[in-house]
Amino acid sequence: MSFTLGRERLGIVGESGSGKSQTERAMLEIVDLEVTFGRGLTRVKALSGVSLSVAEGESYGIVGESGSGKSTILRAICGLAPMGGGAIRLAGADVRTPRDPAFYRTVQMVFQDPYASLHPRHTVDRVLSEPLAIHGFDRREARIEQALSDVGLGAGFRFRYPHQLSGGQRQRVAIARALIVEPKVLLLDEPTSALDASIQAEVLNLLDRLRSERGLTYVLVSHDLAVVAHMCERLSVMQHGREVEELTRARLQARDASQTYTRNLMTASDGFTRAAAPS
Amino acid sequence: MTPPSASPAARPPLSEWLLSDQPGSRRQARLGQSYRTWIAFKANRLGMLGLIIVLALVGAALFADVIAPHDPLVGGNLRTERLLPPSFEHLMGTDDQARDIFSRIVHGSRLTLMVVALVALIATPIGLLVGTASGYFGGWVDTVLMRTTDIFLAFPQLILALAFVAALGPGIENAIIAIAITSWPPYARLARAETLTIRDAEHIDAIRLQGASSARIIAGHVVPLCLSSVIVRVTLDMAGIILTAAGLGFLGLGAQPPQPEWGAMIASGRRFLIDFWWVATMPGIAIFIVSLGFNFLGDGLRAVLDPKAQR
Repeated sequence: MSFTLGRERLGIVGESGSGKSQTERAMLEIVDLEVTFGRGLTRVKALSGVSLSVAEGESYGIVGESGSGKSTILRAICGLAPMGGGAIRLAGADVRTPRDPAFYRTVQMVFQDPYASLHPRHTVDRVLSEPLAIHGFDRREARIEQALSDVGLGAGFRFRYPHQLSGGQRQRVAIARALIVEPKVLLLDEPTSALDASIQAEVLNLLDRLRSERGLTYVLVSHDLAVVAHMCERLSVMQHGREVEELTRARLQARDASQTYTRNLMTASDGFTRAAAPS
Repeated sequence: MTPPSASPAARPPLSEWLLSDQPGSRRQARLGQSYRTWIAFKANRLGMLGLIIVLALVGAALFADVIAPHDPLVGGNLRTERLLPPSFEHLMGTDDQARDIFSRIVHGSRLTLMVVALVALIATPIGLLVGTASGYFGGWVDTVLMRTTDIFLAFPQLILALAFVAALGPGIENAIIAIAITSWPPYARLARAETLTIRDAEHIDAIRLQGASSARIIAGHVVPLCLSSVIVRVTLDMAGIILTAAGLGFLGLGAQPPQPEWGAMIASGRRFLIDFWWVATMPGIAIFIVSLGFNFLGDGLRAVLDPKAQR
């Protein structure tokens, strides 16, 4: 089963994005990143020397099993996980720790769990107006309405609370919140894995459309190879905090992998087949 | 108001506006949430009883001059009107200075309400601030604040109040300060415990990624989630605070005579307990009913506000 069939299963038709990076300059560069959690006996090395480079306007995927460290890369970029070594560069410049407001205007993140990423006591309006207030934007009313319509939510959603929204609607609000500050880079931490299949397709198509409309750079983390095959031009396979291999979409669809782990991952994502199960 | 399950034709328009699932403004959304909470609260009978008692206390305090039939401070004829039993003229009898006990209790509700309100207003913000800051920042801030809290927690409330009024002199204001500075540590502990669970939530990560300052995160994101538990705790503590204030009054360290503070009334009526039971018992019943009212109200609020207590 190739990954084109996977896209059709999701109801996604056609190629995604322009697939062309605008310039050769790397928008986001990670060099030998190391992240360690805990101390002493409870030390866990989440990332051991990961390097990758994402060009401007590109969509880059990171795949792996649970615990491979893929979400940790995104959290380290944002400053939510401590960097133990290595460097992270945004548009050529090293990021500062703690991150400054200019960083947060350039890089935003969409989280995995739509039920946890919105404050339960804030309306959608409050969720969207807060980043505008923090960064001092003008024309806030217009921007909020525009953000809601960009993600396909009508004006009736503006004053609802999260418990009055479905999972897909919440994730759209999370996307609107990330995009309202007009970032250049969007980090997507398994944005659709908590949603059901039909809603997954809608949200992925929305993300695709926004990327081509605004020329955004995406770093998409997922455990689902089909999602990554649809959304990303290049991808990196992670295992145990290390990068195993880097592939392009073409190689992924052709199932052309040089590493055994990658081939096993591709086989595993086909699902259960009697023939593949060991006797 | 008609319950929301009534047919749309019978539902009054205000209720429908409040319960709309497409609110058109912040005000409508917020009022709608409050209305839903109110509907949930109304279902709890004891909670409603508690609310009625507390509202009666507030009403008595506000309209004491109108409700009380006699002067609370100046007695009648000392030869004929001392220690009269309850009657239509004097609903709760008179005390040893020929003052109408019912009027004194009604005016005393002002003092009780003042103590309760001021202690809540002083102790709750302090507790919230210390607890949320301690839980959010962690590290040495947490250590310093929590050890300070432990120090205040180690003082027995009544003993500290005694020391305070001994130093500053007796009076209801000093009693209030003394009770307030020993009441906040449990709220700080509670706020800290709530903050520790909230701190790791993804919506806090998300707002940090918006570049929000710690002050904005604590005030706008952490405190609203802690508030429910703290409100329930404060309401339940009200009963204890009333008793402490009454205890101080009983010892002569709270409100001074001739102020009609309920605890002081019990103290002065002790001598007559056998033959003229109403002098000490009536204020005792008043304290009992008001404490019970706050307990019921607190339980009702917990049933509505605490998600773990629901279902």
